[in-house]
Amino acid sequence: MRVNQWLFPDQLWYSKEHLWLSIEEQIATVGLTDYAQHSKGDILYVGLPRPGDEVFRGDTAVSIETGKWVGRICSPATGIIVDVNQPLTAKPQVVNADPYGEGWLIRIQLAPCGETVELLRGEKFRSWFEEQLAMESSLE
Amino acid sequence: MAEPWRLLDTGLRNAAENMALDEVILTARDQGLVPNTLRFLQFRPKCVLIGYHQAVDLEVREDFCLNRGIEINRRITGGGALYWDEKQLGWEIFAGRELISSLGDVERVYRILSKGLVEGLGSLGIKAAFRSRNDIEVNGRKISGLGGAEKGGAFLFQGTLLVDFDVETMFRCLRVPAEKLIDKELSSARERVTSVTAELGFTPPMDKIKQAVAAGFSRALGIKFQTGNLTGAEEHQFDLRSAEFSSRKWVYGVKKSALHGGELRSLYKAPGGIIRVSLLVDIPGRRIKYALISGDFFAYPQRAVYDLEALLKNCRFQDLERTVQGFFAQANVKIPGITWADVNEAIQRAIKRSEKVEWGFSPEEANSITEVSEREASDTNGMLFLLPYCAKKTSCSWRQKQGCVECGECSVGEAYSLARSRGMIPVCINNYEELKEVLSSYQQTGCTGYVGCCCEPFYAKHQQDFAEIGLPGVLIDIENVTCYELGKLDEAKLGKFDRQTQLKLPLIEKVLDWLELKAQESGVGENRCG
Repeated sequence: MRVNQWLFPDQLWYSKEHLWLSIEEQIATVGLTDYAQHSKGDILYVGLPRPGDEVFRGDTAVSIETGKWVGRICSPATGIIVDVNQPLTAKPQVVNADPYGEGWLIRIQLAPCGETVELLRGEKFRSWFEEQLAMESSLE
Repeated sequence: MAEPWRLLDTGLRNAAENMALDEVILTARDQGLVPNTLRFLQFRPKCVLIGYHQAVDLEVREDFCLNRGIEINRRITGGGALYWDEKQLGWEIFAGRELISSLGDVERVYRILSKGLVEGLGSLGIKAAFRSRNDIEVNGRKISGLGGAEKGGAFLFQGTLLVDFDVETMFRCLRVPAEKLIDKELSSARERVTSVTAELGFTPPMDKIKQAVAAGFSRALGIKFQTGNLTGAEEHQFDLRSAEFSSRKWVYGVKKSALHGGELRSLYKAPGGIIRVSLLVDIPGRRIKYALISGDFFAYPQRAVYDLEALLKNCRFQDLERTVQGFFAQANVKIPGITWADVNEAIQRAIKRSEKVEWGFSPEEANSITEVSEREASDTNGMLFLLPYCAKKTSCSWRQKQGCVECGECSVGEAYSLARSRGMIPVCINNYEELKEVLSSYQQTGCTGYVGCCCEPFYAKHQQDFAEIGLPGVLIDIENVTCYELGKLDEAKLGKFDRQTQLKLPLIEKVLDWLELKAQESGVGENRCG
């Protein structure tokens, strides 16, 4: 699906924090959406957790710096970090270049009873996202 | 009616307390425990604050700070290292994300939120404006730097306001471009910043400045303030978390290789004058962190160079040419005798030195090495080794002659011995005419390269001549004060320059090793002179 110039692959889930999630066999791969990477600008640093770290939904899991802005990205789910995209610490610009591919951030083994943040896809996501864009432009 | 914002003044505090409060208030706002807030903060004692992802050793001159009781800490926001003393006022906005929707484009956020400070300064009589990427400036000179962070549903947008400014201490605390801290560099830095005091000619009371800034934000954002204090919950969290922000883990927790820091310089002679460039670069990230461009040229408008420097912050190497060209076209910049291509070339030359750092030279060493002509010199065996007469003792009877008796009383004799051990041909040079003659005659015998020692101004003056001679070479800077720096060129030409320079022998040896390694790796044959 495309909304304005931004791409949102149909098979993924999206959070209201502009993260994408791909969930397979209780492992969630998490990254920034095309919109998020675009609006944050050139990503200069990525700070990642360590594999084995326990994360709770809403806890800071990843930090990203663009210009002078540090965004702390909260974990969209509770679980254990099983993998991180370590090459991003040397080449953070990959998040901008390929947000849904080589720019993924972390993989979380979801806790059996762990909750995730609200996840959207399809038309429900489109309608929420368009509402956000309208709100943003009204502030200009 | 919209909920009033809290106006919070936390007064003079130390660095760890102020950083802990940033985190505590941001978290409280994220949790909906406190309203949107404008906070004023000040620092005592003086401190250096590095950005969230920075490493202390790459950004701060620790010894200087520790010896003077200047604290070092880490911000929760991004950007570069800052020096804070009591003459600066910090201001911060903590707000829910709904204020700017989902933050949108970061630069747009900066622009919108900067209006508050711009309005406030306007009411004090200072005409300021937002400048891309993250400054507020007055006539091109920076008066406030901006930064931010977000956490969950809340964000923090902060800035400094230079009420007055101690440039010299800042330069001595931070590893900013201006390694030598000479007067020229300090005055160049002073030209790039301004302060409330400099603009008004006097220092208004801090309370009056705070009132003006708060009123500015009130007008710009259409909000009302209610003076408040930290809540009980914030005080409690502050007590719990203060120790974390003074811990070594917090301050020194980020480690980075030297490739992520370091200053690279260049000196380029364009028809309209000399261009000097100092860059802080992130080599693995292939980007400029900070640029300082100066020289003996005149730019119209005068602020153009400062605006270009601001634009080059975080510019990727690959985008440099486009950025410089675009800036000259868009800002209608005129520098007599200097084109956008000259400025680009000067910056590219500094960037090119990053290749040396990747090879294992320190940035300072890399700044002392210049490669001449496009084809790189390689195998040292049979090459010329050119040495300046001014490195000989002033009393030496061989000072103005090409040879050396290797008496052991100056670095030239050691260099002769080093050259021969590598199969090189040492020659002492007295002036440019002699250099040209030597290079031309050896070039005719089939010599394909040279290593030489000279001062940077000599190379800058003759860079076109070196290029025209066409022989590939590597030049290594000499130490001590040269005739160029002392303005004694005429005396030097007459053989009356009465100072002795020094060769950087350890660096020369390292450069020769590097050339030989490169030759081996590329399978280059012998470069023998006839």
